[in-house]
Amino acid sequence: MPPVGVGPPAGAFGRECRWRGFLFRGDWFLRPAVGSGRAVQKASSEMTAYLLRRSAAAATLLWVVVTFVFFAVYLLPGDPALIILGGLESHPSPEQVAAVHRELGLDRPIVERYVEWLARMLRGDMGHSLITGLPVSSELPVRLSRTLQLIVPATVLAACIGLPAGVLAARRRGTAVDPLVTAIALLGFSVPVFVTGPVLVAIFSLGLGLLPSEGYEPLTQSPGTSLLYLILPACTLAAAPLATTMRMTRSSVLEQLSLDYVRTARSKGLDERWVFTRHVVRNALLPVLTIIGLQVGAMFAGSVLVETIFNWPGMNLYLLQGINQRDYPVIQSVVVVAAVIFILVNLLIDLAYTFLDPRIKYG
Amino acid sequence: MGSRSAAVDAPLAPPRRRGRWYLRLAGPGIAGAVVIVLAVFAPLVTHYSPLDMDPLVRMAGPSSAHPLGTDGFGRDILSRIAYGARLSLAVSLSSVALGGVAGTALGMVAGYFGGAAETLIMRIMDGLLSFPPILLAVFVITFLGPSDVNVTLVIGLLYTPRFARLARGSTLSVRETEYVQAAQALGATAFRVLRLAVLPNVVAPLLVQASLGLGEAILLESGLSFLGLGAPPPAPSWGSMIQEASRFMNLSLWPLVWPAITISMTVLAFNLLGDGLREWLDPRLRGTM
Repeated sequence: MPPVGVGPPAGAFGRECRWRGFLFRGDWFLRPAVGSGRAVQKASSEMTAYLLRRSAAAATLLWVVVTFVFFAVYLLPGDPALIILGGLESHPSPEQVAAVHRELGLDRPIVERYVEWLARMLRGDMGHSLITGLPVSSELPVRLSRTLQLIVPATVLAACIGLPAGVLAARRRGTAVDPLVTAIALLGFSVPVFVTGPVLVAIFSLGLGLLPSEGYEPLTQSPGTSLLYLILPACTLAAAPLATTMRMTRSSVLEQLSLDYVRTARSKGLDERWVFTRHVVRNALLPVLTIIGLQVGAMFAGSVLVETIFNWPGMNLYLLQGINQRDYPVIQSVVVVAAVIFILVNLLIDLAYTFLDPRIKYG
Repeated sequence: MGSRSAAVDAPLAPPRRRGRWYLRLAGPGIAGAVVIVLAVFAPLVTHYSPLDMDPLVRMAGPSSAHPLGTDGFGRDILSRIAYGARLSLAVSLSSVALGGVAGTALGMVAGYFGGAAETLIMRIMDGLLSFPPILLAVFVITFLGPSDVNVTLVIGLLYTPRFARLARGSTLSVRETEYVQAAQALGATAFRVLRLAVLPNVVAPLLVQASLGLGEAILLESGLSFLGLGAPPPAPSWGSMIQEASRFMNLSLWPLVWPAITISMTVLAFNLLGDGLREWLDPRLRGTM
């Protein structure tokens, strides 16, 4: 039996070090033990295989989604030619319709159009809006960046309040803090954004007259005003992820607290604060980070209601406009881009998770 | 709830149960019952039709004639909420039933038979799950057209993969048990085995999923109505009520306040019911939820 020590040997910080079969790095307290050298090697080849498999699955999924969107749009009732020729109620001559069909390539076989469409999408060419005639690929990035301007502050807000509140609720279990946090989280789950939004508008914009009730102001023109426009939509969007983050943090910390290593750490005389901050919270945050990532992925499409309420000209408002005007290239492009983002975010979370937690089986 | 000692070593103390599950379900149960009563007895609750407009009393506050006031078209809010409850409950119950039955059947077939059927079913389910829910709903409604039936179909479609995954997972473990092998050895058909041996043993987590899905279905239904993709106006739907009310917000807040409270309380009630059911059916979760 080798001598029993506590913690890594001296000089372990700042570089890698193997001790009793455990791999320690400068940030050793961040990562769980990985195992002996051979196991690490095996794990890394397994991991590469897993990464490849997971990426291939995501690529297949992308293809399925893109294909689905292409064919679904052509099943839509309504002929795009009629819109170009002046709306759904117009009655153009068959020759005019045929001419527009030829122009759009709609008279060619669907498989041919599908292959061509795929090739164009891969090049980033998303076609032209049927209404404005402008290329979708010039409008969509602008819209996407506006949606991001909503999502990033909302995520930061949700994480900065949700994580400490959840940890506090678990830490102070049995005091008034816990049920309070649980109740707020439940409210956040149950009150829909189209209630939160108008209520916030009623209070802060109609009642107190502090903030604009709707609209968007580019960040580059006047950062101050643009922030004023941002506050209400971002807070509204943050409510649901905030509730989820709080609740997940709380139950994750509670789960860690019930594990054996906590008892071990306590019984070897570690300070309770040390046990909690260094052991419990660090381990508990891993699943919570995943949840926050998933929330970000969901918010891209989930902000559709917030954008509608606050008339925020982001990606989802673009989609709704496209739907109302039967603007097929716009609908197709936005749905594809949103689904691609959703799939990529989920892929990134999976990959990040395997890096952060080597115990994950690559199955 | 009782009094609690604010122990310094709170994390060391064993998790305290907050009363019996049926006591904790009392609050949400009553709130849910109120909504159900409103929905079922809508014509008895109020003698106004949800569609009748009275231009003389637009935007009225609560009064003896209109207990919750009237909206921007002079329609009785209580009546619209009660009839809207019918719509919301009908849509959420039938969409969860639809998704639950379809998903459970697909998941059990996938888990029990395996092979190509499993691969095909689960890949389709993965595909459905790879769309953000609201996006898929908006997209499908676009070409089905906005109506309450189509909203039900879409929410059912959204729920199918969730039930299918759960059902497949449980079926995989139940498939190997001795009572399933015994049933197979007795010559039972696959349908009989699935119905009598597998289904009763996979149903508990599905019930929890269903109860949690009810609240979310109400949110989705009213969200789609809010976007103008639900039951077309003037049908009374909570979502479109809020949408209309928020346009007249500077004139009167009553048309906004009542449906807002109703939706929030209903979803809260369903969520609490789901949580209670989960804790009751899955004792492992006790103490962490």
